[in-house]
Amino acid sequence: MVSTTDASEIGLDRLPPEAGPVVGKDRGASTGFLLSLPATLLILVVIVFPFAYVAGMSLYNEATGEFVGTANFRRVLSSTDFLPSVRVSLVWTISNLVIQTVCGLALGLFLNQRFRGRDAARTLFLVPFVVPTAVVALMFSWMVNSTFGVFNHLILTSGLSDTPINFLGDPRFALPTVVLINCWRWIPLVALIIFSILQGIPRSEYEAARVEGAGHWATFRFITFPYLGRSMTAIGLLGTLLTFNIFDLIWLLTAGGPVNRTKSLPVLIYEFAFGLQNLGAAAAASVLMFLMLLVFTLLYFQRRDFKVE
Amino acid sequence: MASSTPAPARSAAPVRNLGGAILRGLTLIVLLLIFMFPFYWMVATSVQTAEGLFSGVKIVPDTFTLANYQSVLQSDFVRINVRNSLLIATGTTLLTTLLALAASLGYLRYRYRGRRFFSRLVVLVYLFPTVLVLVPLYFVASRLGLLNNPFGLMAVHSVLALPLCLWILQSYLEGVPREPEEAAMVFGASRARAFRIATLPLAAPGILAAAAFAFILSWGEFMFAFIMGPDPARKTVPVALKDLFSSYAMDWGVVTAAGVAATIPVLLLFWLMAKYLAAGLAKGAFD
Repeated sequence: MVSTTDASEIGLDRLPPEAGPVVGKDRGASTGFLLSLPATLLILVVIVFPFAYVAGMSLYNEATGEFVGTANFRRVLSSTDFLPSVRVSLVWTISNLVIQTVCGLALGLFLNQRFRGRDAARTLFLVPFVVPTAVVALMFSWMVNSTFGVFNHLILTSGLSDTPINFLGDPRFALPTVVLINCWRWIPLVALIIFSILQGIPRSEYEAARVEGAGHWATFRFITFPYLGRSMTAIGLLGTLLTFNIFDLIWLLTAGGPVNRTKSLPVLIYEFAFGLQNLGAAAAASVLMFLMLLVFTLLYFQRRDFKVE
Repeated sequence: MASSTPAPARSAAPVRNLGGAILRGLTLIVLLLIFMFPFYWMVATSVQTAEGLFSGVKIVPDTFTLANYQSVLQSDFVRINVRNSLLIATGTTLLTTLLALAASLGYLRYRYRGRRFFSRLVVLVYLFPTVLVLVPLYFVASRLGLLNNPFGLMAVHSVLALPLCLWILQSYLEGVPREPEEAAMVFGASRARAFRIATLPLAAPGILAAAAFAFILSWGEFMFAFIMGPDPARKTVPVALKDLFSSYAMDWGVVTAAGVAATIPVLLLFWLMAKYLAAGLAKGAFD
């Protein structure tokens, strides 16, 4: 950063400082606006306008173009698939978040220690996250294959079960299996985010705790944990919404089956639109899902009394 | 740190006792096994012959063949799908990097009306369920004849990549010293030129990281590619993989070889952005 004295000596005080001065209508302000305009427009065209459109679509019969009021919503709410899908979505989101937070915290704390190969390990752990979802689905479909899969080989040879388990085809195992595969993918990322928060905790806090004779647990409880907690509220919201919205992994592994046991709301919306070719119902289900997430977000902000900076 | 006092053993200190070191080593091995085994298994499967695969599960393969890779190379997968994906991912990368660079400059260097609105809008992309725009985008794209059009998919992928690219770039550019740019302007360079000759070279690692992320995202994106490119000649790599591994006449040797082929470009680019991914995500979450 340029200190003010140096700047004025060589005439740099006329330049906007780090974050730029609050200026009215000069050239600088319009340049900033123009620079961010293309990105803004693209987001509006791809996300915001289509969503406004979907809200409109939910009130019409897409095939005939006539206004049908709440008929699409009634159609969705009276569908025998809707409530089970809400349930699947809740189980999916909550179990993913719990497992990922617990395991991500453990892995993050582990990576926060110093040992040889830590940096290499951190890079390797990111690979599951960057690999295409279709590759993840492919690898696990093959590993959990009930005839030739390596998991069933291990289960049978170790005597855990004497019949092979059909992980993705058995209604009892399908959802837990998909949840665990998704956790496999996200835990390393959660761990690395926790790790980068841990690295940001000032050293002096730990020094002070040591001087006062705090043990490992007390240090964790009164320094590490509150720091993490503060940062995790923001990340928790992002994680909840991202997890709730996952469509591709579920669709690739089970397509919502067996007997709808993995049919979460995004999969249901997809089915309304492209399976049943009922765009109006799909639009209505989209609006309902949006309202659910909106209510959740508002409650979250209120309860956590979030500081919006 | 505290050199005058004999510091008690701390978890953050370098390994001192043997027991702790062994425990850490074992934990690391178990963790690597959990997170790396699926990749090993995919590669191990891809180099086995069909007889080898169906004669029972072997943790270390006892047959070796490159025939599966040969069939992948000669198939439509490389001729059509890899080509489509390379085109779309390259277009997405160029578009996203340019948009993100311009926007992050505008955001960092100027204060303007709507600056806050812009940063909120960006976060919205990740808070907003993308499955909700699937229906209208499909509908509009089919009306406008944009289905199977690579530019439609590039636009969608760019929006999906944009927020994290912006955060990576912003957090990187914030750390780039501004003195050279300001000095260049003192010597008469225009703002744009000063940025190009002084800041851009210093920001190169951040820009590469953002570009690598955009490419990886577009290369692997499934949902929109699946919906917006139903024509077999327009299918991207992830969509083709889905067809491969969910078909009934499955040849797992070939399927896993295709999976390896789809993973290689990601691994080649991934190290460019590995360092910045978590930092970018953290930045986005706090903004």
